Amino acid sequence: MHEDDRSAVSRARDGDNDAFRSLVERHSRYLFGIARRVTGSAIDAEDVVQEAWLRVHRQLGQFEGRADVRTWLHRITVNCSIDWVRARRYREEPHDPGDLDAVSGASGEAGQVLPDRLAASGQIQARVEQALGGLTALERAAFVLRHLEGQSIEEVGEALKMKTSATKHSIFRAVRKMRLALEPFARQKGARCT
Amino acid sequence: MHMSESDSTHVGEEALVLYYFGEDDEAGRDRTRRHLAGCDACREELDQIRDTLEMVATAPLVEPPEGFERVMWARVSPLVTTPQPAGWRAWFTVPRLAFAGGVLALIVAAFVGGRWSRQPEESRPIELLMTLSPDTARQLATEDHLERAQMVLLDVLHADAGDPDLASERERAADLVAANRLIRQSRGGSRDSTADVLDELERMLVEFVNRADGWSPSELEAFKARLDTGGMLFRLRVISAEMRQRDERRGAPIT
Repeated sequence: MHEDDRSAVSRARDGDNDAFRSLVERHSRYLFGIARRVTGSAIDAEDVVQEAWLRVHRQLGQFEGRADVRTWLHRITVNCSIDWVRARRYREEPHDPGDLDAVSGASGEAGQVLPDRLAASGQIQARVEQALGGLTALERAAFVLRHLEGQSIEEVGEALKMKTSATKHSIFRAVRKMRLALEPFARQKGARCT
Repeated sequence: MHMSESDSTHVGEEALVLYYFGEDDEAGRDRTRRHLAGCDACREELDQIRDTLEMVATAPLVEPPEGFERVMWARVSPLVTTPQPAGWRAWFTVPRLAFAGGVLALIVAAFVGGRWSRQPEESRPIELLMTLSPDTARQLATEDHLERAQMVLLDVLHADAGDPDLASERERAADLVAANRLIRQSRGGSRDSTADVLDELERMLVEFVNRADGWSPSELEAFKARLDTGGMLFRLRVISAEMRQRDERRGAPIT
């Protein structure tokens, strides 16, 4: 698979449209998941993935032959997602002071779900997505970049053009909301007993 | 274990989050570690934070709709393929336009993409683009796009339900999906009747591209009904007519 990808990148760089098409068709579903996780919107994720492919096409000449293609595509998609979030932050409404209460209320209702029903990964995915949906765009992006993309708080702040204190605040709020929404499931799941 | 007074103060959620991520400074980390060694409540809270965050980390990524990769290629390909690489027209190839970025590039890309799919006698001169304002270029690109959409949808409407060979229509519809998205992007967030039609048109085109090859005759008929009696074609005609009228009022020399 890796050699196929590298070969496709090499051929696409030489103008082979079919090679580029093979990359698009092979990786778009995965990249959608990445963009969807950062942006929180399927429609926006589609736009982000499209923009990512255009960026990939422009940067074909910069790809280092020994690198992993999917990692490279992943990074470009995350960067495009960050650009999207930064563009959106100016349109975003300020925090609703009551939103933490709303998240908390939702978790109480969800806490009645039986543990065995959470065994299916689809259920967990749905719960996590629901919880992520309770975050603002900036909270979500900061949280995902820190927790799932492994960026430091400083790097997240630079990416989102936020001060470190504001970045921390966004991450703290995000974790608080995620705990309120998910803790009942996380505990029932019995992933850890101390 | 004996704890000093400072160690005995609960560390709080924010400090635990920083501890979990390894983002606290050395002194803070030592203090938290010492406190955790002697405090069941904070250890419990840290475990809860860890459980929740691990649940998030292990959740599978959301899957896109079926056929997403095909639609994505339909959207991307007009912007990256290079059918006219030589001569002065090479400057107009879409990758360069995409590289240039900005609204006008999107408009022109959609416009040029439309030109490629048209018959030569229907084409407006590409040199015209150089003389147009972004608003006018966007208007023309939208007009052309809506006309092409009507032609494709009319062909679908007249397809034989008993033997639907829709490969050609689906291919043309996939091109329209790409152009439709470009035009919507170039319009920014403006909401009007045209925006509504473009949104609805894209939903129908995507559905057609993704699903029509597996449709039964009755499903195709249901789709046709939405085009016809559901009003999609009528709305396209109305919007196109309004645009033409605006052109005429402006005396636009565009044909």
